[in-house]
Amino acid sequence: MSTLKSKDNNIARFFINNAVPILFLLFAVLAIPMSDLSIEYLIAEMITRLARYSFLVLALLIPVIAGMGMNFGIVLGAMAGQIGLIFVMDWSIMGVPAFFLAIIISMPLAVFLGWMAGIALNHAKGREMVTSYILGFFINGVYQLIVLYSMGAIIPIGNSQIVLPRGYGIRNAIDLVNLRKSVDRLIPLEIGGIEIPVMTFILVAILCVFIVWFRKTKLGQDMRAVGQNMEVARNAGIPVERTRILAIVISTVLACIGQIIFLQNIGTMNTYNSHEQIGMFSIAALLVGGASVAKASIKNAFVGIILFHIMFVVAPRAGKTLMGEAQIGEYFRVFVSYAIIAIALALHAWRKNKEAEFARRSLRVDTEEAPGTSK
Amino acid sequence: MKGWIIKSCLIIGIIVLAVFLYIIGKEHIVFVENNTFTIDGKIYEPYDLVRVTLDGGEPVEIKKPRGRSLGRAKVSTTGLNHKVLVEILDDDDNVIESKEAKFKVKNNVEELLLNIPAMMNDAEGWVANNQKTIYVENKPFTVDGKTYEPYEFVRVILDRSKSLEIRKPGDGHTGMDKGTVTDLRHTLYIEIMDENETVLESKEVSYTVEHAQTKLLINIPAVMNDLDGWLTEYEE
Repeated sequence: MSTLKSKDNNIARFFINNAVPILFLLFAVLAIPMSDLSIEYLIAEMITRLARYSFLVLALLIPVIAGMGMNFGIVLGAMAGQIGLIFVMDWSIMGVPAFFLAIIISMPLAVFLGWMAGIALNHAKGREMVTSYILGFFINGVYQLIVLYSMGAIIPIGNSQIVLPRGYGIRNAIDLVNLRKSVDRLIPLEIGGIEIPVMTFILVAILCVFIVWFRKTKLGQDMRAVGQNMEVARNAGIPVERTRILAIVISTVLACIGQIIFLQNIGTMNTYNSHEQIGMFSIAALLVGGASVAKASIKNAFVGIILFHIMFVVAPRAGKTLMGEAQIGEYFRVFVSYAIIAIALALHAWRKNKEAEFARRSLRVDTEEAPGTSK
Repeated sequence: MKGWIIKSCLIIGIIVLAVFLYIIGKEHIVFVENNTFTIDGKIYEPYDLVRVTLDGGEPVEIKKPRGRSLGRAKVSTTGLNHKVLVEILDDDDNVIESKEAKFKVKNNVEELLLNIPAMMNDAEGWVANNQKTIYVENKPFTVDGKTYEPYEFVRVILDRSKSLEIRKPGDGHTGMDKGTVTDLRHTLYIEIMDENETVLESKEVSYTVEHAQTKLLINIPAVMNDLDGWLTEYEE
């Protein structure tokens, strides 16, 4: 009897834990036939999008380990990356050297922004997500001020292709022609007509290995301890504030590299917009993959990117088939990404309550079954 | 102490790497031209058809300039050391003659002009900086004992794109400004203005620069008075 009950509990727990990916899987199963898109096309799209977004989504994992939830502040790293790209485009640097030079230029800025965000988040313990979200808006304002008014006027930018005709400020869109797919095509490979961005996947694999290794290091263990209970970690001699700052710095630096990978794949940079949706879409993808604000893994990142972007690709076409208008699908995919975050956060709270209920129930069962217990 | 040394070495290493990446990744645009080249009175004529391969990249075919064809191609390259292979082709695309040459580029040079007839004949200046610095002066110009005075305020437009505003020397003004132009054929538009920036007189002239010339000096009073020697090579 108790075995049956525990089996039921396990099934229920599986569905509760994986509610979002299951929901998306069901959506994909229904929408793919409606979209009339070929499997080859979908595979090619998923490979491109995995290469494009993996680094950014993986950048979210370390703050989760440290118990800081989803780092909406990855947009800070994205902005740093874009500043690096503006400089390499101004200097007319081409190809892979441009990619690595952009990383070197933007990294100190990413470290600084991450450090600043880490300090701010230490002052807002327990409300890290909303704080990092608002911090993103604040730094976005500073970024726009610098890029729109200082570049070309105070910061020397001379390339007429990126500076506005008035002589200062950066153009709204920068063609990254010198950089486009330079990393993706460094090791050329084509399977069945599908281009595989081997080098980008190697970089993503290196990051995955780094994350696995990092979790085993002392700092990684400290982060986990801080994530589980800050007070216990502090009593154990772990510098809690410093550890949390480091988590955000690492995440911001990885996001900076991720944004450069993302933009070299796209080939065009919207100076004032490219970074804005990055935090939202990366977090949505991770949550779709079954992660929660308290627990996220590499597996969640990849599953999430595939499921979320299947929805992105098929939604407009499915919308067209269903409603006769592709625009409906466009709206759909935008509101769905926001809805996922809301659902995932609500589910996280609900799941926590359920887990507490499970724990209470199992404790009650144990107490009832324990010999010599009076009724 | 040891930690600081390691950190300093790491920072220096990153800076060195950044400089290295800057040098190897810097784009240089090479305009390969199959045009007439003149130096020291010698004229080298263009070929009917040439195939040019720069640094083992995609070869480009350039025909002799005819009609609207300029007889040139734009090739992009990176790094400081380059190798160019030129093949002279006949009507059936058979190679009649070929020659390989090496050249170096300074990192600050963005555009180069590579002349094929000059290269095939080992003429000096077959590869030159395509960016020309034009120094424009609004200073007195003396010829045959007569001095032409500078104007109060002039606006100069180089190649219909770069605008320079030059006042008469004195009161903190040098009476000189400079701009960068690319290529060999240029235009110069001059507006003589009063204090209220009302245009009193204007003039447009065209001029050609030689391959090897990179710095030129233009005198405004000389241009406005059609005097010989308004365009000379600039000396520091």
